[in-house]
Amino acid sequence: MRPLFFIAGVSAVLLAATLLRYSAANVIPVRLYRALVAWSLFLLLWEGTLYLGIFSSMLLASPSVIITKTLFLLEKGYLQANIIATLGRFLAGFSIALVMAVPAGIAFGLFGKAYEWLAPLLNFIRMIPAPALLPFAILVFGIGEGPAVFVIALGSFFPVFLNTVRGVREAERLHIEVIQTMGGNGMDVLRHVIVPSALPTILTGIRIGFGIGWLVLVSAEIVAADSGLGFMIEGARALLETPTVFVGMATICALGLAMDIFLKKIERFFILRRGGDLLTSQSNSTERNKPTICSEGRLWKWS
Amino acid sequence: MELRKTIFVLVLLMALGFLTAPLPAAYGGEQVYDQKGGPVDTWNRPMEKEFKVGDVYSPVHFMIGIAVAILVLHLLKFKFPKVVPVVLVRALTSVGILLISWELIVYLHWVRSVLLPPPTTVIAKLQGHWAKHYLQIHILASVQRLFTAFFLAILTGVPLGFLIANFRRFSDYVDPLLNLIRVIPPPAWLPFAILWFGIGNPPAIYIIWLGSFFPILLNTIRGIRNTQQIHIESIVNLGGKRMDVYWRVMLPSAFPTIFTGIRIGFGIGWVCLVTAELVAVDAGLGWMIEDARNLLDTPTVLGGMVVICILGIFFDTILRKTEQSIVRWQ
Repeated sequence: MRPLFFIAGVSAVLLAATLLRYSAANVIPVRLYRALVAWSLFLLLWEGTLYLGIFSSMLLASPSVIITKTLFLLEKGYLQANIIATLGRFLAGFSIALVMAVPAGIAFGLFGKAYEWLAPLLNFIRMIPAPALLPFAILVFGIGEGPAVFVIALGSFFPVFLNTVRGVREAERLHIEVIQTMGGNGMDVLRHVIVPSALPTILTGIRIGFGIGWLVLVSAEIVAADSGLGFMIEGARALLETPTVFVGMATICALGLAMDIFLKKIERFFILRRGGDLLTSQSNSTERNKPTICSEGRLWKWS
Repeated sequence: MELRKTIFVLVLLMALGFLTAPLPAAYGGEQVYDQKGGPVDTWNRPMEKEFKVGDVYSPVHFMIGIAVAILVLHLLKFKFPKVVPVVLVRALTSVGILLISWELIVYLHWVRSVLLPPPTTVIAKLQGHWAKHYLQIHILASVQRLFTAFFLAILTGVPLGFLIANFRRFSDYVDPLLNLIRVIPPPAWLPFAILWFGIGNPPAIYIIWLGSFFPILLNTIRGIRNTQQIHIESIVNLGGKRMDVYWRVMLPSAFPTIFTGIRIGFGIGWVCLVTAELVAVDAGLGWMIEDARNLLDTPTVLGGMVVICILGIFFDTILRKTEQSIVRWQ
């Protein structure tokens, strides 16, 4: 794609939006319009400075070059291969963490005494940042899948585990006793009270764990992998292939965003299914669904 | 008054961070540093002969000692239940049992001591590094870097959050761009940071700043948005000016939320620090463990991890205590 085409295209979009905005004000809401203006001015500035040669194109790739590069990498299948490698590694680590953390959390939540003995030790281990385990994991597992999966699993284990324990411990005593009075055994209590009431907390833990795992995944791939998006950007950096670095970053960002939205949807579904929290979760979710950080007007008016 | 005190402490800490930042950081290679502690190579690594299990401390004595210590602790707890805190007993017992079993599996040759050096070796190695001032250099380098970036994040995040929360038009233009940057995990910036700033402090500071900036920003926005309308209106009715609303209502009521953001940001910054140091610097605890990994110096790798962990707990405890006192005040 030629830089001038790109500049012309973005300017055209900006111009069209402005015309529409000022001819028929209701077609484009003002916030969308302002976001469009911000984005397109940013893109124009980015492309323009590089086109005029103000920045070296070694250090910063222009959007048009990035688009061309993305198409090229897609055509060669290089990007897809790395995406698959990254996703596979992430899912492996994350599911190991889930499979270990949720049952362990439920068990320790039920047996509070054991948890109180173990908590100091766990707090100690929790404070080691997961990337700090990378050198050690490389020594133990060697370069490749092992260290990355290990570190991702470790990074996302603790949020899930701690939230599960908290959720189980916060189960209402009264509900448990109701089930017991009506002749339910331990399994019934687990199935009908503890798991359902802990579920929202567990899901929150899963989403936090996902965030940390994703961050750790990227660092693990930069340091200790031979495939994947992190490896791709680090390798491209070493070859001064700036456009590829940008493509990799954009892909990481898009994948993370997509999975986060998916997890939020799941969380919302499960919370909505429980009648009790319907009101609060609805008010939360409307707040969450707003597209940008700023979603409210001014706080007060001056008379 | 409490708020002013806390702000004063924060500003003091900030000034301290900035004052320590330009201290001559001990970059490996640039200054060959301690000649008293024995020979040093170009990267300031202490050159020592290889450690063997049981060289300095006897594993058997170590295990017996810890077991005895645990027993004594429990006896004390039994004798004086008021004096000895139960949390301490539990913490020391579980950590002690972990240490004993760790030492034991290496002692019984179930695991190779190259891959998992026992605690005695790690302690001896850390002692050696401390004596040769090797450990101090890296701790200082890491802490300087962390504090510089962290205070930069506070200095940028809080004012920007304040502007975004208060000025609709400003936030409409700035938010879309910030959201674009927010979703990129900070380590993904590493290649670019290295490309732009070169190896050394700046890329690491950039990564840590990115990691701690967004929690602080988002919490500032949330805190200021959650200011109670009635407080603002009463100040306005009593004849308060715009500045009064900002300084006397918004900032105090948002302060606990902002501080939570600062604590979360510090945690993420800590993770980012280690990541950045593994790749982009030539001094610091992360660099130390990565370098030791290259030399198959596993005791240093594990020792560095323990030091990182202890430092993290230390800072986290300070921030947590401050946060608790702030929340209580509120």
